[in-house]
Amino acid sequence: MDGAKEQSARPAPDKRAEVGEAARDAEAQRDRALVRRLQDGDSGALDDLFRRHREAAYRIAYRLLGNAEDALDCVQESFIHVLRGIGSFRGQSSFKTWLFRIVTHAALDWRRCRAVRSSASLDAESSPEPEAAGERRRSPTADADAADLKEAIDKALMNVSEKNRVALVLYALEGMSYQEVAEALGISVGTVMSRIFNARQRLRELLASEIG
Amino acid sequence: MTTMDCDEIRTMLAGYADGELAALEQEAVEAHLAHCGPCRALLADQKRVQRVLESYTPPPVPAERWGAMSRHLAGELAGREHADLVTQHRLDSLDDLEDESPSEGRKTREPGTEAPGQARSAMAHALAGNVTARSRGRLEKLTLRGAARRPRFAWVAHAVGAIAAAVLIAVGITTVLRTTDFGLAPDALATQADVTIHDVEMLDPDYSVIVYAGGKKDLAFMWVEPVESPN
Repeated sequence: MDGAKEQSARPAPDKRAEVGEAARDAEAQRDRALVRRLQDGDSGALDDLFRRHREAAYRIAYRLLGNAEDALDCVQESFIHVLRGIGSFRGQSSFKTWLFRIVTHAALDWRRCRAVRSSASLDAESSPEPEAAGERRRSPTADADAADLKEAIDKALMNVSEKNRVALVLYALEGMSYQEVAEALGISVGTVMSRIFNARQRLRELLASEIG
Repeated sequence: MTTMDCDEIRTMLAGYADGELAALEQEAVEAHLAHCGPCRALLADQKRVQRVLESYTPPPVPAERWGAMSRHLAGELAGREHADLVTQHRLDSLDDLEDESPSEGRKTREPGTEAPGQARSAMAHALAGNVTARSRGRLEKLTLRGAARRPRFAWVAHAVGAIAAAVLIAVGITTVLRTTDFGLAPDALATQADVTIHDVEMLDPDYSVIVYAGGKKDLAFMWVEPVESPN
């Protein structure tokens, strides 16, 4: 599956330093070329951009929504938003930063809409139920320990304040630098640092029994 | 180097754990950590949570799901390109008309017909965000020209207004004539404003009349008084 290949190709966060500025610049340059082609109506460029960033967009949406189906819908909506705005995209930030900002806002909007729907529905559950893509319930044969930890993380993330969770997801889970997170969210680097610190401390409390 | 207290250090602890601090800040944090156990514990928590998060991945997405989404996006792009082509075609058509001499333009179309329609259509497209910057500039020009152009049926509206005014005048005059001696001068039985009554003709004893009225260049106007009942 090319999705799995993309996930494995993504540099692990603990090797972030090895990636270096040169590699980031090369990636950004590649994106800029694709954006220009897309602005000229090249459908192949859209497919390339989608393949390059769909997994990361999905991970962000999933970690903000805690639900694979909603996350995938959010990714699709975000790329449609990209199509609508690509004509006016001037490249003042990198395409990746711009896309992640769109995904973040779309996920948060989605979450708010879902909260409204849930409160209006008599059958709504009190909290989001994490689930696998393409299915509504986790497979009972999945590895129990990993599933338990994953579910605990999903639920814990949903209990971190929204602004702190967004900063943590973009940095700690997507490999963006503090500067990129700051650009994506329109806040200072110092605020990013503070939010990430608070998000981790909150997770530390919520996951005390799982991570010791 | 000035020493920092725990609150100051904790604002930078995440940055220190992630290697995002400048050299001077990093040295300050290290100097503090060397003698502060609680802050070292917080740093360990930051790193532990980060390690847990790094091992956490969302459920994989089936390739066919990505494929379906890719096709959907390609369809979106194709739809938008088609809309752009339609807009471009309309703008190009308008350019063709603009390129003609004024006299040729008048020969090929009635004044104020196609161009405003194209401008409206293209502007609606622009509002949907589907046109290029070049097209937008042309649209602004078209819109201004369209706004300056006279409405298509302006002359009809003026004519109807004039007729309505004449009818009102004629009704008033006819009412007067019904109770007036008809032996007045035949060319100017009565005058009001710039409308002249040229003749009045009785059709029958029940007071049906025809009034010939109008200005200097207008055609005669006919008014037929409704037949009244004998009582």
